[in-house]
Amino acid sequence: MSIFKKNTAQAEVVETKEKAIAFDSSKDFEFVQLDSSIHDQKFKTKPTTFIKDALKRFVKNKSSVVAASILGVLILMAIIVPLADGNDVTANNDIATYLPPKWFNKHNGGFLDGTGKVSNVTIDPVTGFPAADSNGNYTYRKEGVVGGKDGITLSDGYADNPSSVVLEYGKGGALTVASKDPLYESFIYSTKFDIDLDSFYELSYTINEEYAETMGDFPTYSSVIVMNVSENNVRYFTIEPEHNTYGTHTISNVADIVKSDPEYNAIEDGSVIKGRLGFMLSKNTDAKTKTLTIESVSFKKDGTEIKTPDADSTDVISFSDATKAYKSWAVHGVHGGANKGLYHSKVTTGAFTYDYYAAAYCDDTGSFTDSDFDRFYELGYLEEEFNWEAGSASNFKLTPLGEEKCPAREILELEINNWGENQSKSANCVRSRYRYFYYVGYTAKCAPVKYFFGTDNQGHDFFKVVFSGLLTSLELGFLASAINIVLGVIWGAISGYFGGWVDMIMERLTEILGGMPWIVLMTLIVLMFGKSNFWIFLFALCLTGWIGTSVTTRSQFYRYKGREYVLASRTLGASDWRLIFMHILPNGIGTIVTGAVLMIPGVIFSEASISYLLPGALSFQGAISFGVTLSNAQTYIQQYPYMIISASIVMSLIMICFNLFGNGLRDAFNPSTKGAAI
Amino acid sequence: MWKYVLKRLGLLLITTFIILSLTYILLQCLPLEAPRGNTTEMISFYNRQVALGYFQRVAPGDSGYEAFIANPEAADFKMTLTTGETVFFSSLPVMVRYVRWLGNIVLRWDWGTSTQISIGQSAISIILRRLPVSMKLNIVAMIISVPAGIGLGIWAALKKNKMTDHIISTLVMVFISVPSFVLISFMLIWMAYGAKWVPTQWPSAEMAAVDWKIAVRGYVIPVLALCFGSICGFARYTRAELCEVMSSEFLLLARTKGLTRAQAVVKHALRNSMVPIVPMIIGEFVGVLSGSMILEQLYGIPGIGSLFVTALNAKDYSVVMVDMAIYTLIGLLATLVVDLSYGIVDPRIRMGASK
Repeated sequence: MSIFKKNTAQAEVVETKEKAIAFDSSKDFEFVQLDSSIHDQKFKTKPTTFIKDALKRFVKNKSSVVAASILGVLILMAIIVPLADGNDVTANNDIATYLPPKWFNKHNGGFLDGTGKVSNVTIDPVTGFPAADSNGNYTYRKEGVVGGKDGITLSDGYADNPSSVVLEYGKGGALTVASKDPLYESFIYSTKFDIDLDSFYELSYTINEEYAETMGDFPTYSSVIVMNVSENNVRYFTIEPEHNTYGTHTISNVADIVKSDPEYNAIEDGSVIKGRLGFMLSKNTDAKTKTLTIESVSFKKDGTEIKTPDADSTDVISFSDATKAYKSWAVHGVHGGANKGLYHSKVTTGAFTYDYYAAAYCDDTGSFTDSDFDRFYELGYLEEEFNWEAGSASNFKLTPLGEEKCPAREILELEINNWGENQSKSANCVRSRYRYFYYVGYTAKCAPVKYFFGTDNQGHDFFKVVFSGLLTSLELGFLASAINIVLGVIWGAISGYFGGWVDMIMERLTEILGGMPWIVLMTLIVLMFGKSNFWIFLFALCLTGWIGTSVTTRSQFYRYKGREYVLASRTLGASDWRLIFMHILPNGIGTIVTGAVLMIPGVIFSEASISYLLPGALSFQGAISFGVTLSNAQTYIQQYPYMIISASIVMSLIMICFNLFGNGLRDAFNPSTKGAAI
Repeated sequence: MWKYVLKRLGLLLITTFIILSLTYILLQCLPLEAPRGNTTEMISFYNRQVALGYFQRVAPGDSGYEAFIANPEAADFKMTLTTGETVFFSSLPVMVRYVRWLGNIVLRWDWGTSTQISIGQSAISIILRRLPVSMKLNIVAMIISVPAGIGLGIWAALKKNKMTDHIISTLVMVFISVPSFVLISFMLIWMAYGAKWVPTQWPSAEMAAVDWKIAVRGYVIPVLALCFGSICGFARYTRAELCEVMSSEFLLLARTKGLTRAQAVVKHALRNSMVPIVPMIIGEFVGVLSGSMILEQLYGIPGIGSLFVTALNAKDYSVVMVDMAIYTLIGLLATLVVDLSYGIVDPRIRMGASK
């Protein structure tokens, strides 16, 4: 290219030389531009505006662009998820509570696959699966145990907390009674039995030192015989002096001790009386909790151990196996200051991987009424209407659709009850739980649902709960920011433009309002209006929120109001209004816009903080905000941390993205402040 | 200068006065929460209110007694004496109570008694008992966060636009954005519930007295939670200031006259960049008195922050007033001290000087 240019230049030189030689006077002077019309050339580059220029700078800032896109996705999700996710988040689903997050169907070591490792679960030695409590309820169902029986690692252990499962399957252990009543004695005693005071009774009991030391302070105690003299007159006969020693104690001749008690004379009702055997914990002097741990009790009448006629609890008076004594021995503290427990009961425990989803979606038995069956037929699950009079399950025929969606798989038994006029019909069925969830409307799909964020204490899809809350918070954020910007700009503009005493008074007012801790103001507003709702909360957020904007606007106005263009405009007769809104404000708008963007996360943060601090006073009615969701999840931080983790990640993402986006905007609008603190 | 300081102090007092007055009147407009407690405590509470001048006791024969007999709901508390006479207690108008409240504070330094949290104790004594906990925490947090924050800021500024700077700036950005309660939650899950290094709750005074190790470990989460924010604040501010100073002409001059980079940075750049940072530190020190409400609430720390929340929830307005007075005063004092310290740190700045 350059060579070519050089050549042409040389050629021109040659040409001029030739021209110089052939001189022509008529062509000596020539108007170069005689025929061309001269006018302003159009810019070849496109003109740029302030906004476009800022946008160009913004796009160059990669982290801000990334933040803006993540933010966009999150905002879109906040709008779409509550609409698209059909799972019910209002009704309580008691079965599918606390399901951990599940993203994958494949088991991958507990990572987002809906499983978790559990240990120290009491195992039923008969079935080999986790045991049910005394009411027949399972904490861990066998359907959820990954790998079945072989998946459970068994070990023998001791359970020190008398949960009902331990009481059912534990062996041995010691009966404990704890009391901290400084005013009265506390008692633990057996069920009633007949005491024939002419017989020879021998009491022997063991207080294990090893156990007692692990259970806190050791009390002073004594053994007693409790007798009901009359309906309301209970007497306690101490059959040994108060003491506080460990080991095995034997008291023979119990009947004689009772008879020698001066109080005994009050009883005239022959020699056979209803009584109980008990232990008395003496008054506490220091109000500390004191625990007596009774390992075994043997109470013999003429050499044979006493048993009560109660068939279920044969050994209730004498015991060396505390699990049985636990139920029938009652505690009595005058002010309820005593409670009993079981210590060191031997149980078989297991550790296994538990699939919470498999357990939640397994089949169980459930009862369906005749109206349910009518609905099954309406929905096309049944081939023919169910005939209750036929009395058998034979006419329960599922259509192919029913095979897919009917919550009742097969009928176990029919129950028809006549209540006078009314007849109630129901059927106990094998129930498919996931189909049942679909049938009653908990889930939108008739399939085992995967919950991305798990479920909360009410069995709600936490994914939907989080994003619904986020939507409420974003609405609050955008609205509050918009109001704050408008208020702040107007206040700051007036204060900054007019200056002087107007500015002085307005400044003091903002100082007073800004000086009040916002949390107090917010609480006051909410308390004054009684119950809080979205609009009151919005009002509370806007009460002081505009001060920041007004300060920025005011300084912008101080900066620009003395400029030449303002003066020029004023000399041309522009009104104050025109100067403020058409001249000064557009020049300072960049900073104000940035402030607006950074205000949204601020509002979300304020809302969340106040929800954390005053969950009772400020809970929303209807729409639950993100802050309320977070502070609810905080309650389960120990047992079910996945909730607070997922909600916190979303919260952090929103905050980081808003801040990065806001900083990017600030740098774009005002390149001179790049990298400076906000 | 002194004239300016006095003027500012006067303004500060006036602002505090107005804020507290407004809050008092607003709080008094809310319906009164009767103290929870037994009858003896109730009676002594109401008698005290009468003695302080907030309530009137209307006995038979007093003016207005007939009105209360006709409409007993108008009274806040009704008491039957052993003589069989009924006595009514009713609150006086808000403005009357306000004037008496002011009088009680000015004349007797009596800020009222607690009605719910610990009935009958003076609000001031409750606050004073809780103040040391918040202060201790904040002081420890300050001692850690000031050097750490400034150090990180300097490091980032010296390695500007290098990997170190990018990492520090990103971390600062992240930690400044993430709300403190999220950080506390994660620390609780990780350190307290997961690894069990630290207690899950602030150890009680008895537990701390028994084992000092537990007391020390109890400080870990609150101090870290308080530190993250201020470390990031200091780091970002220091980096920005130092970067600006580093690109200034006088530093170029320092280098041209033969100083090494280290000498130039330590003797010139650092000193100058400290001008806006020192007031910031001083401002933080004033803030030492105030506790972080959310942190104290979540970790169960018995400081004035959690007291404020408890008092608000229980509607114990006397305690709320004193707590708020402290917060307001700290906030305003911090602004004042920061403003004044600019002049001390940099003599070129004359506070309050006219243009």
